[in-house]
Amino acid sequence: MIILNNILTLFITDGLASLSRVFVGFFIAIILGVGLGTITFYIKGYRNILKLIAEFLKSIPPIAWIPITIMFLGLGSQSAIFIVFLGGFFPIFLNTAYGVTSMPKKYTEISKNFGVNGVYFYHKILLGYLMPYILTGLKIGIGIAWTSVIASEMIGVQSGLGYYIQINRLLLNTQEVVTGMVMIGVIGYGMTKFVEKIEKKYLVWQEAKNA
Amino acid sequence: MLRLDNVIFNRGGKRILENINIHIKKSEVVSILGPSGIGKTTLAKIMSGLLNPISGSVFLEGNILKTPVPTLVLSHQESDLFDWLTVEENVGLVGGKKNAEKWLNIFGLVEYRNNYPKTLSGGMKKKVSLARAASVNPSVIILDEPFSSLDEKQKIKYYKEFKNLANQEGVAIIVVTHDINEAYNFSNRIIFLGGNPATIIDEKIPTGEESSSEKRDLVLKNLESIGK
Repeated sequence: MIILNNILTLFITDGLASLSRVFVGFFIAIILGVGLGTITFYIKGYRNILKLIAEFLKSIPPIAWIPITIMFLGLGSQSAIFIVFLGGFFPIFLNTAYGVTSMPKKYTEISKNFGVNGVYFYHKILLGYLMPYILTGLKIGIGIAWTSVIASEMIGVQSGLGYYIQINRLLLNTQEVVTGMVMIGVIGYGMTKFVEKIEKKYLVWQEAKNA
Repeated sequence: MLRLDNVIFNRGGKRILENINIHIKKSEVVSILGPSGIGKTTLAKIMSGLLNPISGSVFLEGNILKTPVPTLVLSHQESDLFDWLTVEENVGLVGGKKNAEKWLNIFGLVEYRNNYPKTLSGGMKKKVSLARAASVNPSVIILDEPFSSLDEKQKIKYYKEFKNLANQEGVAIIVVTHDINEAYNFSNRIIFLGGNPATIIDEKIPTGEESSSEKRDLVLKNLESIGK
């Protein structure tokens, strides 16, 4: 009972602190990743250079950004959120942009032919086609975002599961360290499953078998 | 209704189409027949405003056509449905749910309204594509190789559907095909495309009594004209 109580307390205090940082950082990553990724549809000439820059920046692990982030944003949640954003942004942006490149010409031709353009085209055709790519980006991104928040909390934040593990390591509380690790695993697994659920819901048309 | 005047088209510096003159009237079902790779799809795209000729003009109902318009719909060779939209959403792409309802009924697609294209056979996909084309009340529908994925029974059913559109709605139907039998069986007029660069080499009104040898001769003549 005491153990359960401790786990619940840990979740409410540090678990939710980590989750809220992931929520904010990942939300910004989705908005900017999908936004910029879809913009590459309209700026064909800059598409490859944008992808090249993103590929380069993606190769720098989010953890390597922690020192410079702390230098500019200081210690605290804002730095952790920024690291989460970096972890989520690149996979989402790159997958969306690759989706744009792979979009068959016929879809734009048909849209033009039927006079489907503007916001309606963006929402119904472009986002519809790109959804599998975006969701793959989300699936990859959420895992990176979660590991990034834990790493940044170990260094620059005074709350969250990363901080909890770090402080208990210093106090040699092995049991607490392991509890923190298990909770990280459970929440991380839960988030991946959540994205998979969304994927199943929105990509039902992909699973449909030929008659 | 649709007129092409001295249309010339180049691709990569090479002339593809030379002096194409075509005039399609209301309710006509016209086949444009030519061997594979001659430039039929290019011509279909020019007729629909997706490509512009380097010289000559395309007129739709007297107005020059330079960009695609919903009154002239091109149905592509391969499945041209949006896979992530249901049959109803595809048909109602422009006119919305209410308009889709009407055309789903006309084409007998009501029971498939919530299906996604991937669950449909090739014939059904063509049917949905035609329903979607009809839903915008076009004056011309261009069908690029519409029979390629259909068996004989489906071909006849599909033909009846676009024949009805031509007769009842006054839509001009242009069928772009490489199959001489399809052209003879399914159209009121056949325009033969041949040569290199491609141009119109002949025009025929099918009587329904042409012999196989007569058709074969036409194919050979067509092939000779492009030097194959």
